[in-house]
Amino acid sequence: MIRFLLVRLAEAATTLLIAAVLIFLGVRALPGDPALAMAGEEASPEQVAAVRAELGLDEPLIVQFGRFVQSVATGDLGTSTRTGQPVTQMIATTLPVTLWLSGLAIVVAVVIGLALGVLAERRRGRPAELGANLFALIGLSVPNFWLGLLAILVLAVGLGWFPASGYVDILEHPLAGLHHLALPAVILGTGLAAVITRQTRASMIETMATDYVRTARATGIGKARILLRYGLRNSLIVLVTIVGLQLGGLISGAVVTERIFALPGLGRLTLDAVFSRDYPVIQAVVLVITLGYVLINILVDVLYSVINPQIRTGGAAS
Amino acid sequence: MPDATTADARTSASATTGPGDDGLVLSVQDLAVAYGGTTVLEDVRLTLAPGEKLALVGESGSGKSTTIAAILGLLPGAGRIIGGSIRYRGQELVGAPEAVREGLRGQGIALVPQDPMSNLNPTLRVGDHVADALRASGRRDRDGIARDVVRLMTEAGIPDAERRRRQFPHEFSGGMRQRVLIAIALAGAPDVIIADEPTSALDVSVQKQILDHLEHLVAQRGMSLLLVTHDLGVAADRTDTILVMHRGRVVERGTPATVLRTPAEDYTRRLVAASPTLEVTPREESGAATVGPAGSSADGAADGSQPQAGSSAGGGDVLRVQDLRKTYRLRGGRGEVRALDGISLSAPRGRTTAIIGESGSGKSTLAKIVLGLETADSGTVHLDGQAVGAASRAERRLLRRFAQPVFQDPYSSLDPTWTIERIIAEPLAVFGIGSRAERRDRVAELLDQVAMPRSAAARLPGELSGGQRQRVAIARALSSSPQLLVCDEAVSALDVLVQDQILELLGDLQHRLGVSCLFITHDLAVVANLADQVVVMHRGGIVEAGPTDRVISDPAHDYTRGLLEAAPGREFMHV
Repeated sequence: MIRFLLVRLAEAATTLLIAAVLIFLGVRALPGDPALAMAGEEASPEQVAAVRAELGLDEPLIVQFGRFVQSVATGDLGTSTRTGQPVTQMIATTLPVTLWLSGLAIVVAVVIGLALGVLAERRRGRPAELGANLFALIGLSVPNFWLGLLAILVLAVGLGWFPASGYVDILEHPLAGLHHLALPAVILGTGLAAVITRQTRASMIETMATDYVRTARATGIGKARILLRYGLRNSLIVLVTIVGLQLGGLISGAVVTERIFALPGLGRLTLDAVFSRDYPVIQAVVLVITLGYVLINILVDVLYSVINPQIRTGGAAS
Repeated sequence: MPDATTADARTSASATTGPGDDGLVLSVQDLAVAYGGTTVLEDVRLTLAPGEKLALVGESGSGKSTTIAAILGLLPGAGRIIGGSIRYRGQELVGAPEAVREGLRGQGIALVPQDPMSNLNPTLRVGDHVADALRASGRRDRDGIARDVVRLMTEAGIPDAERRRRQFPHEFSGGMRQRVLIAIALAGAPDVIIADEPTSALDVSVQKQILDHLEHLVAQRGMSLLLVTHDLGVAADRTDTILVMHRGRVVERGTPATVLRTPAEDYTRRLVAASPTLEVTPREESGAATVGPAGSSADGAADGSQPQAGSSAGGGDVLRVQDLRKTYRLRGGRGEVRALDGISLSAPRGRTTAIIGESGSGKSTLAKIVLGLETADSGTVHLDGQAVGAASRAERRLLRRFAQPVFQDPYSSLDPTWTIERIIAEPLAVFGIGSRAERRDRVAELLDQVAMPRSAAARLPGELSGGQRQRVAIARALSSSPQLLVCDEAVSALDVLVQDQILELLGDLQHRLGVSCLFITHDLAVVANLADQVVVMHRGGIVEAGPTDRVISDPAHDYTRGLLEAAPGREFMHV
């Protein structure tokens, strides 16, 4: 297990380095000149050149990249060219919002998805299965910005059950924070919940038809125990893989959701930075998101080996 | 010993049901089962007295599995009992509430299922399977359960149970998994054990150990045994009474001696006749009954002076293997497995050479290397005098054409979306043989050769039976006119009657086409009448080689003797 983790971490570090190169080059390939943007439209060429020198943009790319990696490694992500704030600080204030939003969305998706998926398998050919399938279809095909707007219109503006926008720190005011995040989290989690519903239903149908489930029934083991220990536990192996792949979509979904519900998260920071060609911020945000992806992947791998003993103990017979 | 809770539960269970009036543990009368509108089981009657051992014999589709599913109350999908009665100790089970049936499963009637590979939950520790079975019979005390798990596993013949109960199924061998399944079945202290082909997936010697052990446990506890099997030999060795099932009915019942020696029904007679035995009937057709000089040594070299029945290309060896070695590295650097440890053998042209071995003997690795699907670490393989491996790309292609495979499972070795014609013509297309029209003619000719109707060309594998599919696989292997057929357990997945037909077809094809055959199998009896010479493999080496009748009648090696002794049905079928 330790060895496995070390290998995965080494892989992760390599991935991050490659990502850093791509991000660095990608940002510089964007049309538009940040020095020009900073100095203003009426600035003289000399002023622009001065800004450029100040930002280090007049140096060779390789030198710029070296400086970039060096400062990232020391936790210094630079200064925003738009606000003049340290980027590290900007990310520190926005990242928790996105983490809370995504985390809650995952919880919502897993709870709804597992429940509906299992229900659909248990009630095959009955209205409950139809309902679960319908939910999955809608969840997958309706874009969540539209769902978000609808939810704001009906549940927030119309019925007034939820705040339409804004963010309250969930650690300081848990109830108010949850109240503010509930609607965005449900909206963001819907797509994932739909995927999990479908996947759970499909793998439960497969698992419950296996020989070992039949043998468990022939042994007189109770229904609930068979469902959880023999059915769901094995279905989770496929499920974790699928969910792991889908989490990437959750991050891009968070950008849209944050915009709709006016949440001061990473998504909104990214959009603002892109529009004002705020290189340091874009670089940093993309790097943070990449890190997130890599960490999620490691987490999925670890989780996968926890659920699937054949991976943990190496597959070969003793 | 069961603790107080189980004892209570068991007393109350027998108090409410009472023993059957007739003293029977299980009594099935006129049972009929239908799937949807189709009746699949009719007039099935069977009874089990305490301690009685009964065998249910039949081919796939005969209704054996449906019968036991009905007894257990586990009929799948649209299956339902449409008539008759099933009584457990006098208590009617047909129409009984699910709670009653669930309570009986495991505690009254327990199942030892067929395939040890698929019947254990891969994510659950082995001991937890047994613990779950104990909990199902009402046990709640943690320490007592842990103790009994170790006790039951030990009784089922698993050494070092205290440590091994924490392992997962994939860390157990097939035989050990089957022992776990036995431990699970014993956990509820049932009076009836239904053993559904409990060893058909295992090697002969392991099979014998497990059946011996199961028999001992059943006798020791005074349980009754319902043994379901397709193997008349196993049934004869292990039970007092045999019921033969065919197309959903019991067609014959009697003691092993009467059923096997004086079968009353035509179907039973055919079944007995088709069952593979270790007798070698002398061959009339080819003059020489055996190949190679009498007492030929272990290198199995055949001299070229033997008459070559139907052989077109003269004498000599079609295959020569010299000092072949292959080692597989285990994942994560945890050692190596020596699959082939320097073996040498040769196969004479126009003959069948059988490679016999249990799983792990290296026989399949040998087949893969001969077919060019694997490369050896060292040693040489000569096909028709030409070295495999050293050959150039183009030469390797030719060699591929020279040796063609027939695999074990006719269900997975044919592409379900391809027509039979396309499947059979594939080697022709791959090797660029003939025009489209010529290929079509060739397919028709091949279908004739394997005794399939020409109309089958347009059909899909899913429309054919297992035996027909294997005929298609043979036709495909023959299509490029290879010199050597490599049959890897080519009949192991088939029912006895079909198996017999396919073996006959292979013998016939060899006679007519002169094709040589390398027949790889775990079952000596299967090839007793087909192979001219046998090579017995064990742990990557050859322990014995020689003419078939000599090896069977006078085995030179202990391992071969053990294999022969483990073969079921010797008492009744080897007369």
